Amino acid sequence: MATRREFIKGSAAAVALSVMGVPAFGAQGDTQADTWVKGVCRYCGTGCGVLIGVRDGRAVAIKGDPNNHNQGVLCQKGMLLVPVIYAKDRLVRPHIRKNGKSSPLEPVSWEEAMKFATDKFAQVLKEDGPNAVAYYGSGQALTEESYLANKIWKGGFKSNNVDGNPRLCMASAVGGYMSTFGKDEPMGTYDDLDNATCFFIIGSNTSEAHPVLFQRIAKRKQSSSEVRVIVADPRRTNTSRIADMHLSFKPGTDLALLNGMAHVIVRDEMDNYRFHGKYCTFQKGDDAVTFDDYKAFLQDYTPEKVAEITGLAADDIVKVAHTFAQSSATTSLWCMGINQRTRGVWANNLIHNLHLLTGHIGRPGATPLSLTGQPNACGGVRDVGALAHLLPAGRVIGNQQHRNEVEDYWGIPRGSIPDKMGLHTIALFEAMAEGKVKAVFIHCTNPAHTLPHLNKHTKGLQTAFVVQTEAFMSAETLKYADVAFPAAFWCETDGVYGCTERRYALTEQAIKPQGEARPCVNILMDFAKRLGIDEKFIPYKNAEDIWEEWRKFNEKGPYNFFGITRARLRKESGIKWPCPSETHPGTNLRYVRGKDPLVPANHPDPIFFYGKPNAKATVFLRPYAPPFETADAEYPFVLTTGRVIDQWHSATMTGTVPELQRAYPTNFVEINPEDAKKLGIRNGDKVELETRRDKMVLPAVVTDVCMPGLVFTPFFDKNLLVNKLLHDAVDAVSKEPEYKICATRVRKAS
Amino acid sequence: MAVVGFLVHTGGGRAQSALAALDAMPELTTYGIHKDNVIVAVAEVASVKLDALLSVIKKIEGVIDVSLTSMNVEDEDPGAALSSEILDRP
Repeated sequence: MATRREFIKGSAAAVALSVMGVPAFGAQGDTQADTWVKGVCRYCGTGCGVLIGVRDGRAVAIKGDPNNHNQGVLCQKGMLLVPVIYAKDRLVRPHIRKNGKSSPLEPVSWEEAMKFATDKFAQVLKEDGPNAVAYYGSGQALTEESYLANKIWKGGFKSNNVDGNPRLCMASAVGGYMSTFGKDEPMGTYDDLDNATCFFIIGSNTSEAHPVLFQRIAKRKQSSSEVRVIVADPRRTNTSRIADMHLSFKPGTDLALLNGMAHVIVRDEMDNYRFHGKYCTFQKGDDAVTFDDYKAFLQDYTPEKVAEITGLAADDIVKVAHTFAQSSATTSLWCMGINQRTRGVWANNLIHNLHLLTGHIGRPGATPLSLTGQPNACGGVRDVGALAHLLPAGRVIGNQQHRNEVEDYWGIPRGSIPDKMGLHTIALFEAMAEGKVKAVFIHCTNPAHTLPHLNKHTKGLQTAFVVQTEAFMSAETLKYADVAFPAAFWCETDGVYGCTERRYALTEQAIKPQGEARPCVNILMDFAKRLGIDEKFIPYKNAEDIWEEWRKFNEKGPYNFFGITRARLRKESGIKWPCPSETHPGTNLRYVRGKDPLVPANHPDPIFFYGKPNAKATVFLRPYAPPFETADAEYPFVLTTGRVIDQWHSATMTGTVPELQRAYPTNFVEINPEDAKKLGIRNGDKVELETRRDKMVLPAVVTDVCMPGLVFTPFFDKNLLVNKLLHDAVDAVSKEPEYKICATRVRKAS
Repeated sequence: MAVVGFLVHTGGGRAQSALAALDAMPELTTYGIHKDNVIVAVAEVASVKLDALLSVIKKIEGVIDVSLTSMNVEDEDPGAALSSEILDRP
């Protein structure tokens, strides 16, 4: 008779074989666990489906969900999620700081912690009014949590000070989609990766930040000699190993590159006039202009001029433009390298321009697809409107009709929601430091680690009364928390995530929360009711009740989730909106007749950009503008930051997994061999980075990943908070900070 | 000891030699070469050593990538695996 271990091995083989479409060993795949519970990976915005194996009430196994887009495959981080649940540094009891910031966090009962938190909030609300309280949320929070918090603050406390970490990563992508197409969120999906014949990857290290998607792109490339991959990135990252062309442009010059590509496409008559002549308008600022005006604008971006700005060869600019335009289907992918910029919205617009000019849009494999950094920035924050300027389902604070629609739906008097936008993230933390915002509720994020210009912005955390829901004691922000509520983590509760491709998927509760941890929905409900929010305003028994209210929010509108019932989510491995009815299968191609349920079947045109009043997408004339800081004689290097494959964000989760931690134990600085030689730096030497904000010593990694003049460091390590080095200049439209570029000195440390 | 199921993607006509190299690794059991020259394999390895094992596999000639499909840690104590090297890191 087979031992249990042999059963488990057989099961593992059966799962892997089933991913390959090979039936094996009957039902042995089920023997690893008593039950398998469906969920979504807790890490990046790829949104891979998982199955969590539970045995005797304990999570013991994980496998990729073969019915979700990841087709049964996970990356190393996802595969090692189960041990994170049982990490020794889980926060499992409520804590408070009884005597101010300098006193220790002490464990107390839930009752004492909740009373301590709500007494202070009540005092601030009474003495200083609703603008003195704030909610700072997360693209990792569940949709139900973000919807509930947004409702409590904007409709209950009458404070629009609701923002969160998606401001730091996705706001420019939102600005790009909104301004070009009139509606947020991509029109394409991951299915496009299987159909594209050209991938244009810019400002994304897909290989390390979204490894499962990278494998899918690599697989597509292997499947056909026709497929071309272009990677545009100042760093030669692992992503470029599958590239036919790698464009290592000078940091911060991507707007010139994108306009240069547009110049070549138009000059060489590779634009699709039938498409952009019918479906697009051209615009300079707020003014409508003509295609001829656009052509004249592009005269400043000849390959030769762009070569001077970007440091690329003029011939390469021509070649990449031709490859982009002439492929049968081009998909663009981008992420923080484009978004975290003082011209992030413009850069997004310019990528969209290329697709609109060439007509690479609205067909399988032809789409501009912005990648997301967090698992629920799209669904939980963008869609439910949990940012300072937004209301649910694409509505904005500044529009009275929108406010009234939300007030009516929430059953509160018109005029309840203030007409003034709340504070965006950087402004919020400045207001906290100035004492204007006196109390903040931080949920599921770690701003003391992840904000830019940390020395400046932790003053806000030091000054304001901070309530934090958190699952891990190692979170840097807990150093500033006056109250710490232990949060149920991942499959200890249930809720919905919405990923990059507009796919909503449910994580069901698989196990009980550790210790005294509670689901955040319960924490928020208790908190709100103690502060006098009427039970009728938040009449929910559980997360499912909140989801039911949310999915019906926009039954007839373009943000349509009506058909995504909880029952369907339990059964199906995610559904892509728009989904207007319970029988609708979900939508792969937005704005396309016959594919998008919001385009009338009898619409005269195959494409209908219904987000815009004139039904036309906008090609914007956006000039090249340099970044906020450039290298100069005083600070001669450019510093950029990013991710590594085995750590995620501030490493509160991945840092608990020894194998991931061992792969990348500390932050480091990558430096080009030429620069290293000039500065006398060898691998492993201590290197000091000094910017106008702070200085820091890190170990050197000498590598040609970085071009000369550029240094890179990851930001996951709480013992080397590299964000202290960064400035906090923001995009004028999206208010997203420019994490990706600042000027620095580099020297060998003694 | 964790049990990890995964797919080894091979190319360049080297699936057979990659399979032989995998079969020579004591931690691994293989389950044949399948569509698109993908090898199915299962490893029995302490989870703290998984990353190192995958690095070795990725260096085998002809191996393009490794996709993980399942992991079972039921007889490991994941919390106990949190070593002092992490808590004491500089």
